[in-house]
Amino acid sequence: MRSRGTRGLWGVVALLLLAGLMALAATAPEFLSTPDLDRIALGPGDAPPFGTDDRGISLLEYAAQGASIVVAPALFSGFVVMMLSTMAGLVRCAGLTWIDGAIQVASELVGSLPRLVVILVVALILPSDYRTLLPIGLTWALLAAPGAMDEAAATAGRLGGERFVEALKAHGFSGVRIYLYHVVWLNLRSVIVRQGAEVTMHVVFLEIALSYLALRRNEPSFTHADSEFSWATLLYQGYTALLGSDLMHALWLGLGLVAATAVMAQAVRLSARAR
Amino acid sequence: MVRLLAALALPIVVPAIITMVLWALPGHPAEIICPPGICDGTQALAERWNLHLGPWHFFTTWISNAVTGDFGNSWRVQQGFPVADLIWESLPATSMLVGLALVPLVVGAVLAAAGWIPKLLDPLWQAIGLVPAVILALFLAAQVEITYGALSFGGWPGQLRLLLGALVLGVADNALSGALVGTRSVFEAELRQRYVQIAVLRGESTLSNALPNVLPALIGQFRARTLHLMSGAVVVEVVMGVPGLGELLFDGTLMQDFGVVLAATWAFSLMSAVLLGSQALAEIAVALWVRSSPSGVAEGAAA
Amino acid sequence: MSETLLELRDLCIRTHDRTLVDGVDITVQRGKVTAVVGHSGSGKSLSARAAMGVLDVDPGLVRGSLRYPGIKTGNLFDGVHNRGMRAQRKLLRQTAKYRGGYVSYSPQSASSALNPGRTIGRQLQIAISRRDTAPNDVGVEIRRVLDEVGLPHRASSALPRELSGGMAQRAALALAIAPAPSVMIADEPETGLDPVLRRVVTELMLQVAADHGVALMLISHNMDTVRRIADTVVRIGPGGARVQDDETPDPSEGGLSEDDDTEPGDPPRVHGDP
Repeated sequence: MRSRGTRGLWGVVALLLLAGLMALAATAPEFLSTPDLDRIALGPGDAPPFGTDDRGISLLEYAAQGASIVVAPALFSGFVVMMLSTMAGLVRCAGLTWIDGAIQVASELVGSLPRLVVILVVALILPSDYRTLLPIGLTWALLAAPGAMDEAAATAGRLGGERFVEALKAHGFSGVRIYLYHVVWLNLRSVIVRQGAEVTMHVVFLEIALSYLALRRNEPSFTHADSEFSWATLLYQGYTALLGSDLMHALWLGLGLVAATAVMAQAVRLSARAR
Repeated sequence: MVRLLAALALPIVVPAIITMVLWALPGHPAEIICPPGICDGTQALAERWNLHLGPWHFFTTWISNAVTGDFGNSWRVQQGFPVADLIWESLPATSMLVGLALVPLVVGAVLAAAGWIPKLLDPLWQAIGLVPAVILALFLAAQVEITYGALSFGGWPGQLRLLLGALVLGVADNALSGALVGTRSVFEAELRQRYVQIAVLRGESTLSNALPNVLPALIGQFRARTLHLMSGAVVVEVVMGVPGLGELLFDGTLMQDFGVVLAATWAFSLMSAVLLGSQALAEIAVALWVRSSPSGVAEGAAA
Repeated sequence: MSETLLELRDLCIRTHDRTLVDGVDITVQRGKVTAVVGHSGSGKSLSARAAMGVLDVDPGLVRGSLRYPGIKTGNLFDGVHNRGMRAQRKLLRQTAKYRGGYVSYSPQSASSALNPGRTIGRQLQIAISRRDTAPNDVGVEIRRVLDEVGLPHRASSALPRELSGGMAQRAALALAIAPAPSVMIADEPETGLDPVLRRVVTELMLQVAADHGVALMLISHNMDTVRRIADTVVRIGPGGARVQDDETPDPSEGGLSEDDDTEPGDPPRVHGDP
């Protein structure tokens, strides 16, 4: 009972954080406000809730735009991995060994190159008028998928695979119930949800990293249009604060958003933990 | 053996896949890489790389040139400069960065396997591992620039950037925590096996019994971790200002310097192939060792 | 009177909430077979491991002494009583030189007891290296050991997973005799084998022990076997062992039988009980 309560608590934390990020994304302005020279580099106390940047623009707008860039692609990427993982687990229970073999071969091939190298090649090839996080997030998910599928298949294998399904069928359960409830919900859920949460978190961090690197080079990012601003902008402003500017509150906001993403992913993982 | 073949094939497969994808996408490959209106010199790019002669010609020409070290000249990152020279100049920094980053991973893994790092500290390593490399790197980069100012790229400050970059790589993004927890769990699972308990009753050491059986798993884990470090090197090199292969690849991508990107990707695939090949050779060596038995015992050909 | 090679006296091992064995006495003599019998969970294997200096229970050893008179050791349990896991780990290290040398161990379910990553030949080589005197030709010695247990020479290059259950049990026996021990502890060697193979393995064990003058301590709950081969029987029941009986049990008298109908909670019967 106690562990169920703890899992429930983490579930609530995850939902709240996710709702917060989605609300932030939903309220993102299409364009940032015009600069206000009277409100340059104000702290949260003077310009709630998060202060302003060196152009007098509210940091909340940066946070909201950043959320709108990452939330949907990251969640979709996590969802893709979860679906592929589920499929791999079901395939193992169905005894389709040739697919298992194909997954392992794909895992070897895909796992042979550093992921960011593949991401950058994809970024080079993508049409430049199609700069969004979605294809990059999807690429990351596909790179992560074979390993995730391998893990889900191994979990299903430890249940007993085909023999587990046969045993339950002998008890009179239907195939649909066995696969969806006994295999996926009762046994694979914790693995699949953890994998989805990890990929979601990694895609968010990937976007921040790519955008930050582009900012360091004063070049447009691969992950969003020029009119949008990523959470990386907050971190970059924070970096200038470390060198002496008055934008330390931008750094804290950026770090807070990164921390919120990490906590959300961990909360999802802990709420779906196996009993 | 399959892994060894994959290692040999990797440096050919990677440019082949890039070629196939380029030609599979709608539009001319040169216009995909360098869209007219946004990028100057689409035509020059097409002629330079034989992109107008079709995928097979492009691929075979590129591979045969690459084997001789001819990657053409950079046309954006360092205009007119041979790409091969850019790659050669960048390789040492990336190799040092990844090599140094492996040190805390290997040391930590050995200590964890020996039981010298208490499990109680695992949540701490995992919490640190959640920090993205870009965050840790920006703090340390700022610190170096504050301390050394405008001179912070050469001499000792340059070496410090490399060392701190290696520290970031080795600790962030679950590198260290993964090595500690992963290695320990592999060992613990093996030490729980019945044959290890029985070996104690025969007066043998648990380590000498378990180690050969866990080596393939550990080698695989460390290859994956090294690849992970190579991936992270791209971010760390740019943020920390280390002039490595990752920074070259990123700059090539940003500036749409196709020659640099293809060459840098190929260099990474060569390094990955070396890792994969090393793993394959190590596994073959372990398999041969497992199969070895004292000489002069087995019967000859069946009578 | 045969020479005593292993003497375990008044063994008492406890966990924090219960007593695992209490008052176990086992003496093993050269050329004799001492059977240790009891229900599942009575502490037979625990006592056997204690006889090799392997204790892994907290707080563990409360009372008892262990001696190997054949090599004139003192009480190996000195300094271990009520001292917990640390002292037991120290005992483990101190007695490591006797295990696999003076005292050898033949496990049950040999397939999972052999190192899957070493050929039988390599494992035999390691076992032979624990002898006091190294043989001139290890290859010849391995062949001789394989012949003794009825395994073909080509088994030397086989991995454990490539052996049948019976062959694996023979291999385990080979590993137990390879170091030329003085005492061999066989832990339920018949487990998992068919009746024919059980007989074969037991006879083989008996033959090998007799040929080498090895004292055999056999842990078993197969009373047929015990009655057939044991010189001495030690019974471990709930709460401890009865006094060791020097007479071979007579099937016409009372006592534990093949179809023993006592429950684990019942007091153990001794010879002559109705």
